[in-house]
Amino acid sequence: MDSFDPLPQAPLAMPKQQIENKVTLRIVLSRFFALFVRDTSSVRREL
Amino acid sequence: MDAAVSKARIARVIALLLTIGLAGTAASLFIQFAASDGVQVLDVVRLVLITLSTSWLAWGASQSIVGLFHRPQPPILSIARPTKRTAILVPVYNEDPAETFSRVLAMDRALVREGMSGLFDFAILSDTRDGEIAAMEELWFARLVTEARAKGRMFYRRRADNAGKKAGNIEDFITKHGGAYEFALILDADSLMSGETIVEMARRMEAEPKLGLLQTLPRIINARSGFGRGMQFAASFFSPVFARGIALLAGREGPFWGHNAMVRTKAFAASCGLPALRGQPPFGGPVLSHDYVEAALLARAGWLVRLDTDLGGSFEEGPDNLIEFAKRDRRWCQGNLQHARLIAAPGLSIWSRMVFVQGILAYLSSPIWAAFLILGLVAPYFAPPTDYFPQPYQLFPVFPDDQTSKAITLLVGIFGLLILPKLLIFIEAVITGRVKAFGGALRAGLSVIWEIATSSVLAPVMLLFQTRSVIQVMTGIDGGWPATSRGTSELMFADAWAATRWMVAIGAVTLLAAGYWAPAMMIWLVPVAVPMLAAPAIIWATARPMGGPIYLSGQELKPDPIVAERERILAVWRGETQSVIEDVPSVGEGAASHA
Repeated sequence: MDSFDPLPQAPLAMPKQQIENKVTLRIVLSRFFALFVRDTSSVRREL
Repeated sequence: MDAAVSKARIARVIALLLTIGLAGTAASLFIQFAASDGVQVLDVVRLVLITLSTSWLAWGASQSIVGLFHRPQPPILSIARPTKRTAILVPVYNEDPAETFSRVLAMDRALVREGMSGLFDFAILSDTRDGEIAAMEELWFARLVTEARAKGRMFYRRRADNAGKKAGNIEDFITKHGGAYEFALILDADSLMSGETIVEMARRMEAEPKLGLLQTLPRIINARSGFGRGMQFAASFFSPVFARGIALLAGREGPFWGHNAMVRTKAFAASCGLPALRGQPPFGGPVLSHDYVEAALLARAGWLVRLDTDLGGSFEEGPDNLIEFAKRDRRWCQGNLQHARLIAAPGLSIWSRMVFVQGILAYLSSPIWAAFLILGLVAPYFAPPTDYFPQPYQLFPVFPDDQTSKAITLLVGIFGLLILPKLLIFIEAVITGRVKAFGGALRAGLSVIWEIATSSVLAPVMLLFQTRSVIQVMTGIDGGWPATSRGTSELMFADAWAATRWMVAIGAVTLLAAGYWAPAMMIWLVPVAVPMLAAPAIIWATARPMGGPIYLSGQELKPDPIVAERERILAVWRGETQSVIEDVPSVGEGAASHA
């Protein structure tokens, strides 16, 4: 707005933060699934 | 250890034990009721659902009980008056500028009376997309600056795009202008705060260098309808006690509710830059319920985040009908469920993670209840036939115990969890004399009873709205809302019908199905299904203006001076609106300058 006073220019840096889960549900499930499959396959081999 | 931290830890343990005790009792009653004919898989599922639901209710009740015994005192500070500069941020988005700017003028006059206006600048941060409203904003802003004689300390800017919505709007101000101010008071377009409170907040922020954010408890004002005045009464009568509980439990990791709160600009800038989440909405994209996240990030960075419930003079306005309430709730639902992506974020305090879980459960509790009710309907079909001769060679039949009393006890207990906090708060208000501000014990008592009755009737309607919201967010489907009639502030019956006819159908099908397959369940379903059937009528009726002695609040009996001042300003402005509009050369010219 040219006709209104401009806000004072005084920049502040606002760095983006790390906020997302590092361990997601998908990772937990995929690891669990991998473990489960590995275990049952070893059991099947033994059988 | 900080006294606030140790108090918070003790309060958390008490609230947790209360929750476990109450939820455990409910679970035990349910097991006795459900196991009378043997434990089936469905019973286990229902046990999990009822335990989750009652835990959630019990946690809410525990917060209020903790709040009843917490009497916060104003902090003793070393400075008498603030000396550092504060920006008062007023984000606007297509609101009526006369409504919003009249609040700004009232707050500015209050600061002038405090002799402190030189330390406080107002920044109107427009994200308005409607060109005509933007033109009106410029017109009204020019008038505001003239009337307030505030050239050089009131600013208006409009963004070319509204990236990041309100959080982006605030971030844009902080990154470009935040360095000029030690503190920023973040408001909403409908926020109103007394000059005394604004100055006191700046004083507390200045006196406590580790204080990163100071939240006040806003009271709802200017409600006209039965629904709105019910919320206004609840916010004024019940919320202070709940808020004291939250403040005590939160300790140094208090809440941020997005407005009527002051932040330390450097702390906010350094800690609260929010990235867009990976992936697409609803779970990816910009963080919607940004306030909870910003509070958690400030606490993560070591800043004190506090809710000071002793501060009055903080107001907001609320939706005047259930449809508008549910629309807002739909946005909050998506924002809160998105926090599932943040619960395990690195470095957050346990309490901050707990706040995210609470926010998610606030919405998941509705589909959990709905699932519990549905499974209750179908459970009899999966139950084994009654075995009157469980032992071999048994001479006389064994009739199963009647478990109805346990079911009734459970139901009464659950209802008790909902109303007990309200009744306790009423007793507290009588003992402390707080009821005087609500028209005395009789009127306040009637208001409490009426509020419990109407919120009980509205509960199944909200349950369905919230269940639909959760399903929409989870599936990425947005069913949208039918357009409401314009040109009238009252909700038309046709609008209520259009928004809830699906709910009427669910209520009708539920009752018909129960009548045909499980007539014994009818009596249990009536309190849930009848409000669904009557949803359009209930919503329409509660949206109508409501006067009388019920829901009298302190603000109606004796408005705060800032509220009265703002009403006077708006009345004068409204009286002159027509002549002002005629002075505008052409609506839209101003908006063009932003293109």
